Amino acid sequence: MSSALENYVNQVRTLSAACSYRELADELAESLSLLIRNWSILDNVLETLDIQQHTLGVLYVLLAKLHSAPTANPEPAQIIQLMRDFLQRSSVEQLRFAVCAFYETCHCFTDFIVQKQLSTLGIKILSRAIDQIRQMDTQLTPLHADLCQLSLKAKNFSVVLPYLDADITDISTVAAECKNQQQQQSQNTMDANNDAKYFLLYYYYGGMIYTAIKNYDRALYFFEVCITTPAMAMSHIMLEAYKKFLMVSLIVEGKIAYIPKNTQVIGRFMKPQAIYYHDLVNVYANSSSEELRIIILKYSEAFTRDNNMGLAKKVATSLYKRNIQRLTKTFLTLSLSDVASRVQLASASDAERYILNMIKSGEIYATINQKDGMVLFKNDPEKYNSPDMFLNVQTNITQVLDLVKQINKMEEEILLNPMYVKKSLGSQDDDLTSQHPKAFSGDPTD
Amino acid sequence: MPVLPMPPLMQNAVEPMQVDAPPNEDNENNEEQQIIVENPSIDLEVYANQYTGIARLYRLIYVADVCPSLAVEALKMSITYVMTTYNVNLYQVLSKRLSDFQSGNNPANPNAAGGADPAAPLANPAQALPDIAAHQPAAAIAGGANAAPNAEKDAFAFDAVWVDTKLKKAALKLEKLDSDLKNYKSNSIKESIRRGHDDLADHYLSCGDLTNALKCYSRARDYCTSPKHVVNMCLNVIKVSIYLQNWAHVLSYISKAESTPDFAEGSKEANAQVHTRLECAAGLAELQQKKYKVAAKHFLNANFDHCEFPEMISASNVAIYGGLCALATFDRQELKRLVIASTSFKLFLELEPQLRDIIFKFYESKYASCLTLLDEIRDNLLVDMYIAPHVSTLYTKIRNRALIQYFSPYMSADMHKMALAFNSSVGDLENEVMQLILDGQIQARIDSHNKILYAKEADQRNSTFERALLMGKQYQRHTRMLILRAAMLKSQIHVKSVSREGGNQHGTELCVSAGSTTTAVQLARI
Amino acid sequence: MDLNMKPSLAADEMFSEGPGYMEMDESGGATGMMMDHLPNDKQHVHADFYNDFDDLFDDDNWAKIKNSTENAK
Repeated sequence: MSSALENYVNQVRTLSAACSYRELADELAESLSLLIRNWSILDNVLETLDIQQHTLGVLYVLLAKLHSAPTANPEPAQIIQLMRDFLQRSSVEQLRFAVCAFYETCHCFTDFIVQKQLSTLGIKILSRAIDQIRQMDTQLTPLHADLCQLSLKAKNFSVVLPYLDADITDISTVAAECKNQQQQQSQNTMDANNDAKYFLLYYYYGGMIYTAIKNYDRALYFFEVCITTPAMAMSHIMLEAYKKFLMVSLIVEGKIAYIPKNTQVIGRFMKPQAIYYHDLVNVYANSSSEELRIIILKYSEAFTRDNNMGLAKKVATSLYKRNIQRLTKTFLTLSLSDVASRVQLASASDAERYILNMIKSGEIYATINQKDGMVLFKNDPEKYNSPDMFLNVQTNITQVLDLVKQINKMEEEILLNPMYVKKSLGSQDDDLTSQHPKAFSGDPTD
Repeated sequence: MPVLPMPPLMQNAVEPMQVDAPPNEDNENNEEQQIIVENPSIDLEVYANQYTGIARLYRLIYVADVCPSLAVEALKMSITYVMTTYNVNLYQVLSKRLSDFQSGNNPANPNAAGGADPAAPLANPAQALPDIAAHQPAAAIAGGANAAPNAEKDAFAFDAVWVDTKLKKAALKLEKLDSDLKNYKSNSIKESIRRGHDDLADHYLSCGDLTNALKCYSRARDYCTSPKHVVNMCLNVIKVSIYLQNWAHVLSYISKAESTPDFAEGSKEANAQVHTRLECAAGLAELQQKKYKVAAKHFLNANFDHCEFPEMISASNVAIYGGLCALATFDRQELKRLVIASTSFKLFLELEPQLRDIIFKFYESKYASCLTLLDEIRDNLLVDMYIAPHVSTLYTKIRNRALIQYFSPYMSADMHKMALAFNSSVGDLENEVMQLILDGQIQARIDSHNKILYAKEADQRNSTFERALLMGKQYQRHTRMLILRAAMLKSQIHVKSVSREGGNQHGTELCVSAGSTTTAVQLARI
Repeated sequence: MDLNMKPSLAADEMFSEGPGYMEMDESGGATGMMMDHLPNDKQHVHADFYNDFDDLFDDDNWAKIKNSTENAK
């Protein structure tokens, strides 16, 4: 081991023993390039450190290993095992002093295993990383996006869903962490848009996951958050989210019910780049499955390029279903062949297949009489008088009240915030003076 | 308001206008969904005599456009009439069209030469005038050439001498009126200047130069010395704007007239004629903008005894336009109260007994005969330039209203009987009813197997629950997003423009900027 | 029929004045504050974000739709 690395180890040991984590974290940030230069002997360093006692020291070695991975080409299994061990045994108390480095390590790790096509193995690790670093269940960290990315790559959503289901009330950002620790942002996170990037990625990937598991309402919510994020420049993440937003809107609402108005970026940059999708929306409005099918085929190349062809097919299916639902509103009975011709399905048996599926999923209420090929449409049997429904209503009321409480609490916090008090008193003065301009004109200090 | 292009002066516009003409023709041929009326039962002479001036000419030309069987007669009548005016342009166009017709030159496409007809501009009002002017030189030349062989026998042959004389006379008169006006101006006698403008405008109108007529009538405004003059100026502008089919202009001058102080306060009796004129103009303008219910109400406000303005609209028009619009848009109570029980509108309806019958049949729920009668008068409506474009929409609305009313008392209805009552097949009826159900106009569902229409019992309790739950869900969604947005602002999450170094300072600055007192903005302040 | 129409109208009205919608509008306004400057025309960011996933939304039925067109031809 070179003397420089011996120094590193000694420093870690001494400062860790003295619990001078703040000082240690600052020192270590300086040593990163040294570690990277000595990538070939980092394992020796690791042997001399204990994950629990020297969490910060190990963290930077890990970061250096990941940074040097392109040259060092380490065994993936070793890196994965290291990360696993690290997350099981590291001290959160110490990690708090190097949150940014921790985030960066996890980002690099994610890139590494995605590249090695081992995403499945990273899901649990990232999940553990989030649990460790976030300060509450409803805090969003930059690591959430990584977890989503691994889940999407692995097509395994069971771990990530609980995270996605939690509604975010707080966001941890690199900018804020660095400010807290009075540290300079490291090279990799210098990009001013890094925090926005991981935020947008979380909502974009999250929307994709919900779309994949057909929770379209929630997917729409995620895409909407993504595209309504304030923006001074066009983010490609937002653009892709916008395309999916349009398609999922069609599936959920049958139209674009809400075009976010707060961002000029949509109108000026995203719309022109999503013409095919807007055409799709316009054609959908005509309720003709035939026209819709033609336009999807026409644009299939673009949709495939964007990886949205599957979604386009879902849009097509949703129009058939929507048209069948319209029929249930207007007819008590209708023959299967009439259903087929009215919704432009090829045959009565296609119509039967659609109707059966919709009955199964509770989208319509109907019975099919196969003897004479008639469909008997029924009303929603829900009478809102069952205990289950009562419970459902109760739950909803509780949720609403909780939200109201939360809003009130937030307002209270603001009212008590010294900055706000100062500001609002100031603006009150402004109001007063603007009401009595003459009183003000004499003496500005009055 | 569309910008009115300048028409050429009559004397000098041969070359440039020919350049403009072809694209206009193309547009008309593409845009027009040509109405062809086969069997109108109107007496053209009686019809035409209800109107004077440009109104008569435009109406006759419209008849010629849409009704081949009446075209020649209509053209002849309009030529006779146009020769009493200074409208040489129109004379030339009409002569050309008539000769084309008679020589069988252009039977397939009567409109190609008829760029000047007012039917085409219905689609594009702003172009009404330029079209007339644009086509005339070409038409005149061709017309002159074509007319020559037929000249010996035809009283309606192109009269080049008349054209020459008229042009000279018109120019002379224009010169005189112009110099009169200059005189008045140099003497600064307001009233004379105002009259001078009006006289000049009248002359332009007689020449068919609508844009200049409009200009002169409007210029009179600066020399009005009494509210009466102002109202008069408004009426003149309204008249010309109607010819130009500039309905926004019509409506704005109606409100100008109505807000003229003295007029608004003055006794209704004294101003009854003006009032009725304004109501009719408003009805016409709203009708053209497809605001049928508003149009109906305006027409219903007309006073029969003061409905005397042949340069605009006839009393029978008021009956027809008002009656049809009312039938298409009023509910049963309104129909009874505002139309059937109206003593003043009754007088209008006397002029159109067929329409009166239709309204009564409708009210008595005799839909089959009501619809049959409507079909009978359809062709007569289609030769009327103002109502023709709206006939099919209004008929559909009336039919839908009838269907809704027919079904309203029933829990279930046999669709075979219903089809009979509406002169329709069960299949067509099913489609019609389906659309009405989807639009929420009929609360019912169709038993297509047994062809029975069942009223849908609206369960208030269920729908209240449904809506409450939906509202709760939406509230939760919005509130969650609001809380998230507060967090975003707090963490300064936004996409920065990369060239701006240190964009986070930018965010800090903005986040403490002041706002109103709503929660979201308070949140934003931190 | 009228009876059925009115409550739904009332519900919509209530909602449009209810806290949810109002606040969303305001929050739109709040973000508006952050956009004092026009977005820069040439600024595109995040062009290199990771988006290389399989089409996760594809089921099976597209083949059928495609077949039916070919049959139609």
